[in-house]
Amino acid sequence: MEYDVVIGIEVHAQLNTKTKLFTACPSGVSENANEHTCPLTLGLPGTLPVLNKKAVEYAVMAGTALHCKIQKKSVFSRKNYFYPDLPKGYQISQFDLPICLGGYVDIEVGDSTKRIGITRIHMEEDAGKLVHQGAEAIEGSSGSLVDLNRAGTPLIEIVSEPDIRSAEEAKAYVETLRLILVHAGVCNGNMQQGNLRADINVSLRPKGTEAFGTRTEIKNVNSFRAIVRAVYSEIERQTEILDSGGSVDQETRNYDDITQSTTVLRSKEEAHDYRYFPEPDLLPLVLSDEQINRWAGQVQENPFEKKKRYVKILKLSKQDAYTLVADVALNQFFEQCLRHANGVKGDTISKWVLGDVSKAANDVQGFEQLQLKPAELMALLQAQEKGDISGKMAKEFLPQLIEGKALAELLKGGGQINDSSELESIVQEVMSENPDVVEKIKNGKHNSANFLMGQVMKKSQGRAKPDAVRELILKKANRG
Amino acid sequence: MKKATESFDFDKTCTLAHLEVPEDQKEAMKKSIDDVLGYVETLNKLPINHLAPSSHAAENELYLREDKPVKHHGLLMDENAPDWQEGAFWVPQLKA
Amino acid sequence: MQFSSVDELQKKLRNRELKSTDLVRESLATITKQEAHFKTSITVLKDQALEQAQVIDTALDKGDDLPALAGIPIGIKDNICIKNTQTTCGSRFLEPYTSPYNATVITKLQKNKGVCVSKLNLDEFAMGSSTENSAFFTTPNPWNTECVSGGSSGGSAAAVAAGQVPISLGSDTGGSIRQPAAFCGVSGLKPTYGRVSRYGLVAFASSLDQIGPFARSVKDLAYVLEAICGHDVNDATSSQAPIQEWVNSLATPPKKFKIALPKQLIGETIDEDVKHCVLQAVDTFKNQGAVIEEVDMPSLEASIATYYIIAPAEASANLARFDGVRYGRREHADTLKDMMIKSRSEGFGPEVQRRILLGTFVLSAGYYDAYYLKAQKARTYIKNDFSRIFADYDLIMSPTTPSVAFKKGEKSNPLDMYRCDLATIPANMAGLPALSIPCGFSKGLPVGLQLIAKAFDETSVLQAGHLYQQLTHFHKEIPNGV
Repeated sequence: MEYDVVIGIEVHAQLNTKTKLFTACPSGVSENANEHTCPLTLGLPGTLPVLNKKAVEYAVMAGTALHCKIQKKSVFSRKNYFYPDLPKGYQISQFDLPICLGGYVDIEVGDSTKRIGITRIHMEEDAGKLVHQGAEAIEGSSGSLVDLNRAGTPLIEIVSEPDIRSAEEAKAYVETLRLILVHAGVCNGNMQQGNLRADINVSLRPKGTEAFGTRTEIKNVNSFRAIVRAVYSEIERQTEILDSGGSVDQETRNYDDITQSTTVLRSKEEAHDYRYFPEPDLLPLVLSDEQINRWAGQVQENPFEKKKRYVKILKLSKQDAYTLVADVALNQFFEQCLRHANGVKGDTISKWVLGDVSKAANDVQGFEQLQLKPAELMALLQAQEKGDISGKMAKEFLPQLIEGKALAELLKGGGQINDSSELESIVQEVMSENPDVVEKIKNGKHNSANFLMGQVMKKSQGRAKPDAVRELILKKANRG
Repeated sequence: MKKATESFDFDKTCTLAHLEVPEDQKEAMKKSIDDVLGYVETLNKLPINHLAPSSHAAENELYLREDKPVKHHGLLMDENAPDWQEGAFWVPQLKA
Repeated sequence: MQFSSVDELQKKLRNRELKSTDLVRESLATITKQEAHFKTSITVLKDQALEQAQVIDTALDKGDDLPALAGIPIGIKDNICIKNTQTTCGSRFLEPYTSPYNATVITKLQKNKGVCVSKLNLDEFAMGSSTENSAFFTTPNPWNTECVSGGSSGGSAAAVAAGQVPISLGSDTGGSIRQPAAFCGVSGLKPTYGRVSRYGLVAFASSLDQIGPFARSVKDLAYVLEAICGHDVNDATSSQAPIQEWVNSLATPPKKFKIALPKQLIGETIDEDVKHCVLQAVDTFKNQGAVIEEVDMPSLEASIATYYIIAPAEASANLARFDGVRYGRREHADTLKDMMIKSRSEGFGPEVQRRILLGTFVLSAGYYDAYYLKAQKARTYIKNDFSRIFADYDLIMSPTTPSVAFKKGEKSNPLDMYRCDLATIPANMAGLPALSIPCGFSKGLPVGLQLIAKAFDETSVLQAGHLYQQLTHFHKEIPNGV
């Protein structure tokens, strides 16, 4: 039978805060286990959660970037279950009153654009990590070591509507979402590090029917490639079941990127009874319009819109436009360049930024580390545009600009001509074109040499050494 | 409303709570909880269905913290840990 | 110096008639001497207390101007964390646990130069009304050692009643300060919810818990309250409400109070003797020009049922952190889940297990609306009832407990025990300040009078309590044989 695929995705994104969601202990990775801990992170008796304002700000920004309605009142609840990576025996999470409701993401698949609805975004704390001993996974392990560095890291969980219809759309959705969050500055978006994680709900229904089939939830999908593979493998598995007259069980499945298949993690019967109830240690989070607007106002044009602008206004190719938004630091550099363009065309800037500048950035681990001011690059390109220097020279000047040399200096004499015969031929050329000036010099008016020097500098695109030129002109004039 | 005394599943509740009551004490424990559940049925007679639930004593403004890291020292992790190995808390295997 | 007031001790310490070290030594000696017949302390902080007292003496010798509590011994309920000190909560589970941090109230007492001398007995995790649920021992009543000291802060009440310390701290979730204060004949205050930081108080029911002081007079309570109250960045529920100068407020004669007497709290469930003492107190206040009227507060009858849903529900989550992974007791088992179950089952006593199970059930799938949500609505109902009364009255007066201290082992049925909390629970539901002061005796055991005010109006309860203590002697009575 032919089936429609129905996919909904829950994305967990770690927020870029310096401290954890409910305690001032540092957030982020550490080399040593249990280094980023404190009495609250350890779940010590007597400790109390105190909400990080920045995390709320970031959640509001994420919601704004995803066109959600920011809720003036949201409530934290306790989600109760026992697990060694959960130090309090409950996770503090927003349940029935989340901070954001109803948004969307526009994704591009092939040449078409599709809108994926977002049901809600809620805030919650991350769990710690378990290192299983004696085996790769839980299975066969003799015991585990609990590391709570990650415990309490602020997360937002973004829940999509079941609007996604293929593995490719699933991938595009997570990619776009990631890009939007990274551009908003709220998440690092590193999937390998678990900075951004996706749980994928997949179900099938006979083609053309309305009712949803039974869904399974796939966890542990931590790369874009894995999203596509996991969805394909799950579609295949469910198709086989349905085709043979069986029914899909509602369960949570674990994706293994090595075998590229999913296995049961938890059946419906084993599903937890989380006993949610409002967190008594935290009053409801109430935000004023003024505060919401202030935070929402920090969100810039989203990368999807930016991309459209690059194609439409700057006449860039779709591919280049995508590359220009895919890396946030690169994009910020590019946007700064546009601000200092001063007549230099967008496609020229794009060519440089994606070409030589990107190459240079790669050598220093990315644009964040690049010692090049966008304004200086633009001055260089302007000099080229005006014909003060050649394209070849501009290329030669770039590494020197990055090394910290001032452009003015480079234009003056940085790219000097060392070949005396080349210099001599230019001088000869200029002198032949201005016999009257040569005559004046011969008559002792040495100041007139300045005019010829200017001409030589112009012809040599500033690459001639002024002292050498002057000496050569005087020598030649007096000789001839 | 379900009658608590009929529906209270003692074993399931123990599993959820990660507690194990010895066989010889089960009956007494179950009965004492049944008694309380029976007693709290009195709430059904109150004229309260229209009221908003209270989770807190008072609805004050929630205090929010600035995002400034504080490093903690002397956490006594190793001293308090039942089994401390390689700077982490060791626990037995998750599945049998 | 046993049974001296804070004022007296303060004066003697300042003019150097008395050294803090001597005072602390006397306190420690009393604790040791009384250990055989009424044990109050789980841990005695001998060395650190004497060390601290020494520092304070040096400062006092130099003539430094120190805070009111400087050099005075204080007992601390053993569910309040003191850095590098065992904090057991009266539980086998936490017996091996040392707190690496100070509760905010401890930090504040240390700033006020108070000297913590003992960690006091309690019902396990503050769940109980008699200290019989302590995993270690039961603290008897100093007035009659066959009777209980009350609970859960029984150790804190008994230590003050027996003259071990002039002041102590306890915690009150459903009456755990006021009921033992009443049983032991001392003064006890549960401040407004949020008045005192809960950071470092091992949570029982987070939306109800509040730390408060015990003392032999209302004025001494005021000293302690001033020292420990205030907003705390580590407790998001602590209030930013302005702090009052309560000690000074007692010097000015209070206004003529309008006092409500809820008929539900002086009904037939109250012992005749107790009722008699309370009605005498009513007369005392009337003679001072107070207007006292009987009122109807139908919601109060719902408070026990409400409490025994909300408190166990919150407790079931609060006690989930005791899983044997990071601290506390661990029983060995082959799998993680068995380890957790065994550690908890061996570590917790039956009353704690009962409440965890009760709380787990009322929150479980399919029952939330029938129990927890209903209880939350009942809580609103109780709060509204108080608001209605406080629109017309300054204070609500009642007996603290329906009867005086009961005999050890007398109340074996949990529900019977729970029913005794009728008068104290409502103030926790609504987060209101409530005071218990001695107002007479029945069969040689003290009777407690409760005063409740609107939120953040500790001034009224303290002024009324102080006024009463100016006119009566009950709070000055000392049990025989201490």
